Amino acid sequence: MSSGRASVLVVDDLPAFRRTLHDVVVACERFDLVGEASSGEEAIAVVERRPVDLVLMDVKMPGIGGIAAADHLMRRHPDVLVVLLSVHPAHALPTELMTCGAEFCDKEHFGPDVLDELWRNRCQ
Amino acid sequence: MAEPLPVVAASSPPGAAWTEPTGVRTFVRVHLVALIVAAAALGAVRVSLVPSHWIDVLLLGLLAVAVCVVRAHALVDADRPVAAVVLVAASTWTIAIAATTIAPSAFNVLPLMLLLPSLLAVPYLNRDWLAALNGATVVVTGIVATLGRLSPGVGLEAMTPAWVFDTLTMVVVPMGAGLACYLAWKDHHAMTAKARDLERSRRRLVAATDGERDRIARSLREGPERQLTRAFNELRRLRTVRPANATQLLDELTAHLQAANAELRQLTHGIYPAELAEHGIEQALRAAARLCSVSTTVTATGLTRYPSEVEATVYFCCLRALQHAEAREATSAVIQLTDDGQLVFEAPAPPAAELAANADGSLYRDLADRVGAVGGILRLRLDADGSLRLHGLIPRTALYPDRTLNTDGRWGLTTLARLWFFFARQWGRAGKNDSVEPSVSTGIRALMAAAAGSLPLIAAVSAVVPDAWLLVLGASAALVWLLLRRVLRAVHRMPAQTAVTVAAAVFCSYVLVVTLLIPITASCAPTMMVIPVILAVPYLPHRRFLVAMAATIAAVTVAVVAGRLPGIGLQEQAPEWFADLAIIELAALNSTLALFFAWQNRIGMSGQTQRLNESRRRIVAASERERRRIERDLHDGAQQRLVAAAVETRVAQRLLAEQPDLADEALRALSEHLAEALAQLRELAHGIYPSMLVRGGLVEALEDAARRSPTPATVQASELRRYAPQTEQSVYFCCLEALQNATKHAGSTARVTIGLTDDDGLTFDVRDTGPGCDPATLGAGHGLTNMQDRLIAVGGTLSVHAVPGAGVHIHGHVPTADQNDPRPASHVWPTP
Repeated sequence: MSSGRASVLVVDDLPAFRRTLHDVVVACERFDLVGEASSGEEAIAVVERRPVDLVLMDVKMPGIGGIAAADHLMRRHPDVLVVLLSVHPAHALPTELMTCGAEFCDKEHFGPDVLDELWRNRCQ
Repeated sequence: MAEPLPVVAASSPPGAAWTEPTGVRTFVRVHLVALIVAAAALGAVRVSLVPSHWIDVLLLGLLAVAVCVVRAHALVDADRPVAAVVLVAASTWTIAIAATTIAPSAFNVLPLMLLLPSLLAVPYLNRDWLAALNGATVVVTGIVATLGRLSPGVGLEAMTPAWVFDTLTMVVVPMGAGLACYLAWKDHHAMTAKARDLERSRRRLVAATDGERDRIARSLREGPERQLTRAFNELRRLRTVRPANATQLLDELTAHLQAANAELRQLTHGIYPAELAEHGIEQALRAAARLCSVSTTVTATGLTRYPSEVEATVYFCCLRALQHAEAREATSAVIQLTDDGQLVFEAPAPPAAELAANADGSLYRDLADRVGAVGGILRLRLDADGSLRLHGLIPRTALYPDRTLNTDGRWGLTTLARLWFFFARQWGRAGKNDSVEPSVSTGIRALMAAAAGSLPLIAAVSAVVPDAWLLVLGASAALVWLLLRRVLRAVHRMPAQTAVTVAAAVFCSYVLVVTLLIPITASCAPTMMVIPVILAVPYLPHRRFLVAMAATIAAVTVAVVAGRLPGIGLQEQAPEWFADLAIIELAALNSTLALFFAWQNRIGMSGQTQRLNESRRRIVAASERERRRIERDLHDGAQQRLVAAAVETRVAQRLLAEQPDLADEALRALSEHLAEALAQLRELAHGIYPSMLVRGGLVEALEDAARRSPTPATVQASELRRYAPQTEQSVYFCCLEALQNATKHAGSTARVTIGLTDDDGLTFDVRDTGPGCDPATLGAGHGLTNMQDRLIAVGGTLSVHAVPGAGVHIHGHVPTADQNDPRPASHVWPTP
């Protein structure tokens, strides 16, 4: 897995930020963007349909939200890396964020370098 | 000018100063004096005249009442007014029943005393409890009267010389009359003062809300907006330079974006911290403590989640205390939060010297208003070491405002309350509309009912005992009825206090005539004479009240003396059962009538304070909702775009290094994000507080709003001058709200006209040409209530005319600001 390419799903309810995440994925050469979703439910449906290696997902979205979706995904597909993103610091978010097993990253500091690093850590 | 916050000593119980206990204190003192007088007299009788153990029993009973009265005082201080009143009532009634059983002639002293607990309770009990207490008073009066007439007693009267009882009656009864008048007066004034304070506080709350909006809008414009504009200009430069220099410029841009983002984040946090909505007060304060330069300890016990306006109020109170501690470079700060049924919070307060410099109390007045608006109280607490702490308390009723009192299983209370409503309905048709304002007319009608009611009684007496004097009595009852009717007819033409004074004098004279003719009624006369004073209390100025009280005490004394005269000798002629029945009935009816007036006064005043309280809570809730909305808009709008821009700069950096031909696309996205963030920030700041309203005034600001409105709108205004800021803001936001309502409900083809005229103040009319609606459906939602709260707080009025098929017309008027603006006249907008 470490040498091959990784397929990425981008999940955010705000189209503008979806596009930014798309740009980040495209800028990193080893990732392939395989889909976009605007809610946790949609993300789950996409992962059920096709294999995905990495999910970049916003925490606060209408519907079940990022944390519940991450929890579901981690349990059904333990080999998928889920990265939750938010503009809020971790302590301002629900406590389940820490227990659901997903990685957390501050949206503001996100970028191609962070994405590369997350994936490198995962492969190690 | 606002008063400083109340200071309480640390040793006092947590609820101290919660209710205004002045009335209770005086009551306790006078009541104790009356008890001591009675006990001393009984003691003297016991020692010198009647060596009966029954007197010891009575003395012990009086002692028990005295202990209960003192304990009740402590209970009121400990925020348990209901317990206090129940204790006073239960002890007074028990000893009254016991005393009448032992010595039936005690009934001559007691009827007024039985009323006192109910009168004392008026400011402290809610409507249902008061009704139940009134019902119980009527029942107990009936029991005592029955015992007084029918109980054989233990023969104390036979052993005691008549002058002893006479003297006792003559001292204690006028005292009771004075006490009853005083309590009625105190009740009324405690409640009027409260209503006045609430009104002032509501006005300050609205002013504070406007100040807050202004500050938020200004910090948006001066902070992130400026940073963003700078970043935007840099980006323009970046797109014109060669790729070789671009990396360095991108670094600078990243730095700027980070600064703008940090500023926006701080601002958003200040408006409404995400922790507060997510985790509640404790976590939000811990987050605030982390950001604060003072080393802060937050301790919390038993906290859960509360209504959001309560949470926001407590949070912002503690935050302000922290900010002050930071400003005066304190070394450490402690914030304590405890929930043991009521929520108590403590935060550091400035040293006493600094507070003394702030003699008008404005330092924390706005916070005290907010805490008061959500049903709590904020004050300063003096600790044992002499330091001051900011101390807030929010009672259970305010924490769970929707939780209603469980009356299941309280069938006793419910029955008593029903009984009271039954009696009250007989007197003034109170049951038909018991929220009616206390009116002179209702009072006079009730007095007329009392006079008319005595006519059948006199007829019945004359059927049993024919006597010429009864004709005189019947004629005077009829005369009283006619006189009162005259007063009632003229009531709209004369001042209320004249009407009640005349009515009271007429009624008192009648009672005196009855007592002179039939001395046996003397036991009921004091209560009857107090009735008109209780009716008059809301209308009399202080001096006139004192005169009325003195006159009543004098009249009661005369009545007591008259009770010792032979009269027309009816009681010797009439059968005993008849006299018994008449007296028992009279006693019960009298106490109902007296309580009915106290009840009327209370319902009128409590309705007003309740309305004020509700509107204050709504104002705070609306401002809290708006803060959350601003926070959400910022978070979903500008902040997301700004964060996206920051991410996009990193993408551009990577692309410039690896695939330079693709970098331009990323830069374009970056530029779009920045432009959008800037536009959203401007739009939001404008919505919160249009700078045009400050610079150009109402007409310009509304014309601008009309241009932005999706529904075509025009502003028609004659030459308008500038008004006090609060007036302009209130009218602006009302018109805006009306415009937005029209956009939502009037349909796509509708047009809106906003008319502004200056006639004895500022008048506005917002009309739309939509399909209109049923007026009943208009009240739903917050919009209209918000408009009403705002306008009433600046002394204005709002009316809505909505007819299906004819559009909606909203009409508002704010009187000239100079008379109504609480701030000095010099405080108007600075001229541009």
